[in-house]
Amino acid sequence: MKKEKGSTELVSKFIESKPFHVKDLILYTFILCAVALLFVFFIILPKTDKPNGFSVSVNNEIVFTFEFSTEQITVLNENYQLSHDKNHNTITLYVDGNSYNKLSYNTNNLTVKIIDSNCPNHDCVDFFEISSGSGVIYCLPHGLKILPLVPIQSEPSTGGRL
Amino acid sequence: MRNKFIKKITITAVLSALSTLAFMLENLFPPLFIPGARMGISNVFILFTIVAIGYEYGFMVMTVKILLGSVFSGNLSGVLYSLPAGLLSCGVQTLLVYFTKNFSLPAISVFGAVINSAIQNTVFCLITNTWEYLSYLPYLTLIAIVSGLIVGLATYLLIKKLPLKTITDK
Repeated sequence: MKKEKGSTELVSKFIESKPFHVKDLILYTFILCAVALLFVFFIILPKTDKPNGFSVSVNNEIVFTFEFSTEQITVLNENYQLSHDKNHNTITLYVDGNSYNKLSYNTNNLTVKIIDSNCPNHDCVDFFEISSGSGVIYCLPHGLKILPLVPIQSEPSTGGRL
Repeated sequence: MRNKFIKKITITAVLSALSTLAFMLENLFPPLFIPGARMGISNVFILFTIVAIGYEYGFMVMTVKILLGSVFSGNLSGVLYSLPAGLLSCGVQTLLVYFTKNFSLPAISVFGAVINSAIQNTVFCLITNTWEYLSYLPYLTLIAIVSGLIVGLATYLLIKKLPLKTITDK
């Protein structure tokens, strides 16, 4: 191993070789089988019940839950500031001081997503909207997590499921 | 001997800078369909270093890229899941390059990208206690296959076209 470490022999081997080998098929087959299994276990098998609401937690502590049928917010932790705009179907949660995440919900389609945030990477805004019992939205910088409340679960703390 | 070492360290520093720059530039663009999914063009420099200079230098480039890239882009929390994924991915690619010697660069890169994606996703779920995020793993793996293929082909072309006598130890 030491003999060939970063050596011209090793580099020459790659220069002379083609970009595809027959033996690559072993790796590609293995990867494609893994992908197929992942799709079966995480996309096809999980049930996709429509959620009847969602819970929002910060640092794994539930701040509030929301029910689509009543459009009611149940606050479980009063340390956070909330602003509910019923005209535009949005809820803004101030995680600490100026840090915020703005949620938009749709009571007809039973969906929720984050539409605005002042977190550094904005990954939370790019998450798929939650439209089934297996969705999740996470904002790592703010420690905020949104999970669906599915009909068979009455306890809001249990949140979503896979 | 000493000159060789200095030459390798200097080239590694240049490749680290290029990798970090590519990583930061990529972070300026929106993710590819899924939150956190990137093309991973910076990995071209890592795979190139593993093959042309040495695996330990490849690990250096990868560590510098993740640490400096995260600091400069203001996303320090990303180090928590990027570093373990990067280490394992580099390890797997090193094993495939030096021990098996049967696979092409694109295949090695695809395998590394898939491992990186899986570990990053799992560590993210562990840290945040959000196992529901595993439902994104199939899509992330598909993106990893495409990006790994592009990175592998780019590295192959780089090795083929660059005057390697200036880089390797002979």
